[in-house]
Amino acid sequence: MIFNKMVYSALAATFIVASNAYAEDGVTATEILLGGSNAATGPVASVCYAVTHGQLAYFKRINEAGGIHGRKIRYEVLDDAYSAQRAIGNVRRLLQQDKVFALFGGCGTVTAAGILSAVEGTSVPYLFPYAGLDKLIDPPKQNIFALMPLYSQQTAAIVPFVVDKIHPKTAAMFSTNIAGHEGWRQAARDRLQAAGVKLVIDGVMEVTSPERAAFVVQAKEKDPDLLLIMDTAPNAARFLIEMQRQNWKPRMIAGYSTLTDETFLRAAAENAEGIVLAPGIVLPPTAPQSKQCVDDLSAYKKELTASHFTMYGCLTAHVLVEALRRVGPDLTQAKLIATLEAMKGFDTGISGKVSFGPGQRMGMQEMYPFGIEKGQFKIVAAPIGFKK
Amino acid sequence: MSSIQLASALISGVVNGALYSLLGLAIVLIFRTTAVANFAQGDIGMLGAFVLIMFIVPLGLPLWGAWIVTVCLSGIFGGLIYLCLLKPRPIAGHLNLTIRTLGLSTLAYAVALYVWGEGEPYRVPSLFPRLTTELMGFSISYDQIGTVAVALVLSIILLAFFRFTQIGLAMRAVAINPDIARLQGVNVNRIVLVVWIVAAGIGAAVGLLIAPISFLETALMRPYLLKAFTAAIMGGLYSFPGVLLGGVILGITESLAAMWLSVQLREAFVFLVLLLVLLLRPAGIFGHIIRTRV
Amino acid sequence: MRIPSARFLLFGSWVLVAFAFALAPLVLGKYAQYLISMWLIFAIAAIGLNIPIGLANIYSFGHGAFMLVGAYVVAITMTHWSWSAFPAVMISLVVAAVAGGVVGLPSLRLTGFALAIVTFAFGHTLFHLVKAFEYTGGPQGMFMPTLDSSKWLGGTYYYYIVLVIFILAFLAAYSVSSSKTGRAMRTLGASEVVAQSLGIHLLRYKIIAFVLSAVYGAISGGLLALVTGYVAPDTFSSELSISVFAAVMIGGMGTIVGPVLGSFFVVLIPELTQSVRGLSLIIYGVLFTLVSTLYPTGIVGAFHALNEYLTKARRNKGFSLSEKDDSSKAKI
Repeated sequence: MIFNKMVYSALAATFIVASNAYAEDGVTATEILLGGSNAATGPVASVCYAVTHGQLAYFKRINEAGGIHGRKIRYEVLDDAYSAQRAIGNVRRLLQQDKVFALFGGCGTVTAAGILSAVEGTSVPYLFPYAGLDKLIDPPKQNIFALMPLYSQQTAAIVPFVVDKIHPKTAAMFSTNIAGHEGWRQAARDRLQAAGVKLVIDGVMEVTSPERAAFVVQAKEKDPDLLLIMDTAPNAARFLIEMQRQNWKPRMIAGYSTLTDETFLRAAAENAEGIVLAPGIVLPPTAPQSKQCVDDLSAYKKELTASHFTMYGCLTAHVLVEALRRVGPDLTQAKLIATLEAMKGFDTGISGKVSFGPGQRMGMQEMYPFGIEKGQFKIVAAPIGFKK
Repeated sequence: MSSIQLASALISGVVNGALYSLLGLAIVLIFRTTAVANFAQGDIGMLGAFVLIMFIVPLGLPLWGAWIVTVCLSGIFGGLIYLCLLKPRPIAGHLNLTIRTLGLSTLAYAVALYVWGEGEPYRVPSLFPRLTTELMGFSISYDQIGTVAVALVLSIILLAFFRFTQIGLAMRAVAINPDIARLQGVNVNRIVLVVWIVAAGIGAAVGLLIAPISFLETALMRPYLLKAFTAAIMGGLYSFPGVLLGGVILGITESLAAMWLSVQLREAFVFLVLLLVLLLRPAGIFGHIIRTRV
Repeated sequence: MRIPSARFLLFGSWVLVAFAFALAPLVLGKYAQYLISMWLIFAIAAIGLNIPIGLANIYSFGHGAFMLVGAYVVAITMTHWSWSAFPAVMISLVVAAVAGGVVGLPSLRLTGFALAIVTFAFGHTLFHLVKAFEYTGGPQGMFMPTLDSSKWLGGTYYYYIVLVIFILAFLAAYSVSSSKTGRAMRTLGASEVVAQSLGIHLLRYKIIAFVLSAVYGAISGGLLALVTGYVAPDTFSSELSISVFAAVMIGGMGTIVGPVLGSFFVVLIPELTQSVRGLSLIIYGVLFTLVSTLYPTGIVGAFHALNEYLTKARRNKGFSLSEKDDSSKAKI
């Protein structure tokens, strides 16, 4: 009886040791398994999935060059159709069934909140989603890192910059009714008040109703010098189309990083020439430094067009690969987290410098001011830093 | 609230109301003749708009020609819906037929999402110039005028059609009692087919009016469908003038509520209005209670 | 002699199935357990919806609203008032029952179709209301407090809670269906006039139908909040109401097993078709349309029809000769 028990335990022990030559989830001698949940179908898929394309394109080049310390990156992305419920299910599947090394990427505040609830308190790193969700990094969580400045931080940076540039007397702000809108609206209110600019409208727009006519009428009536549009790119574009229909425009339009998206550019270029200022996280595809990312994308899939979102994907993949490289051949989740935390002043070439720290889980320290000239995005000044 | 804001709210209320009315008209048309509530009505319009920009416009026709072709194609699609989906096995009952339209709506949305979902939102060319003009001191845009005009013209044509033509008369007969109509020599199946063709054509027209306003996306018609049903119910489900009036009332109420209350509470307010109308006049504004003998 | 043992076999097989589910965590991983829990939670809601639809023939398209009430009341009481899980769920049932009663009130004055639209609008409105207020978490929703109970029994505590509640809900529905209330509902579902002439109080039973479906919905919503730990408003949109309805219809209205089977399809299809983008929604749409057109009685109905066909075929094989004689005699 005891002899049998010993044999079984010995066998079990050997089995466990043999099968877990790398005791770490998602890491083998030849592969690193990353998981992600993104909106592959649904109304935001066209912008959200572009982030994944940018990331896959970057990984493809790295893998073709041999990988990182001999390991190729495999990135599995599950569809959540922009539903928090599905995102939670996807995370459970990635963690419990597929046993990924880290959760990477993804897009959307709604789904990020769901993923956060499922991954918080675990040891699995959750890295760089395209989501301006305050709760992700405030308060900072050990295993969660972000490269996207919170919308409130972006607002706090861009408003003084714009005010400094055009000295408006009045301003109007329209925000979309998503999580965190109180944060950025307060940031804008504070900065405008400090600069002596009168905020004549502070409106909140419903996410689901895309008509903007009522708001444009309000704005036109007050005729502010500065118009702040804090909404998704398509909705901001609708706003501008409505402005064209009503035959009105302010002296300057500003917002946060959603205005640096090509959807907005396409729809707005005719009316927005020279009067838009928005903070960009990453350089536009037309900048000379973006060439590598753009080439990677076309090598990955010829028919894709580079955009702000593919560039963000490229950026996040670049930072992740650099961190993996720095960890070295002995790769564990804890080591990756420690390495990221120690990253200071990393220059990606296509964005501001990236720095993390023990209490600092949002790595992007600077943003580029974007303007629209001749129908294209143009960086109009040196990077703007954040004052905390 | 200033008079400019009030005027603008009224104008956009009327425009939305016209769209709800027109869509509601198609719903009432099918409901009156077949007792089927067509949940796919909105998605027919959405598909019409996609067909327009994906297949018809590239053919190089002038825009109004493309519109007419799309509306006709949509009508044919409506006929096919009737022949393939609703005519077989009608014994299952009206509620089951309604559920089939619900399934069709889900399927149409899924297919559109699969085929065109990745590139949305799309811009659709508008028949009307994207400019505003001054009318009695208030600015109103050309496509707002155009939308209301088209809705008005279509409604008048349809109302006249039902009142003054043979087919219209036959449709009303089928609506009242299909069995007796059949005894009177009316080819009920053919009438219902025509009803579906016309309703689908109306659906496409509404979709083509809505799509150019901002962007075309697969979820385009979803908010309009519930409002159209609400307008239909408010108008009494069996009455054409009722649904037209119901739609306009709904559009204006909604718009004013968005101005006075916050936008978020608008939906709750509209629901209250619906409840109020139904509590005061359960058969709708123009409806009358049909008492059945046992 | 054969009949009692057939019933015994049926009962026995159900007990076996329950045992299989109870023992599943020993062989299945956490993720599979999660999927099963999601399926059973959805099935509870579907069984609840079957009461007004399958028994009383009242079409309720706002079921998502009751699930929303359940989830949000649990979330609010546990987050803002620091209640524990059991009282939170209890109070959510009370609130939902009241909501169900309120929705049922106009059911006498409105035709079936108008009532369906009112229920749909109710769901739609509630969905927008919770997004409008910060107390209910606004558009972001509410994060549930981390529960110690989620770690009990090696993390399978909630799996068993869901399983037990599902079994109770299933049995309760069965008991309602075969009770006087169930018979009353079926009568008024078949013909309101006949029901009235038999002395059945229409309004009372219609309201009971709504209240029961609301309670089931709230249980489902509350469990969803407890199991996933996060309440997102977008989960409870009007699409949810349509999905639950689809589950009831695809599985088979009027039966209790039907909604459970239908839920299986509705919950698990997106999971199984992950690899092909967008396909899961198409499959769902095709299934919905096909079943409603070809098999209005759902999977259960189709199964029964198949069963009848096979039984008839078996009988015909043995009696073909005499049947021919019989038919010729009938002509005369």
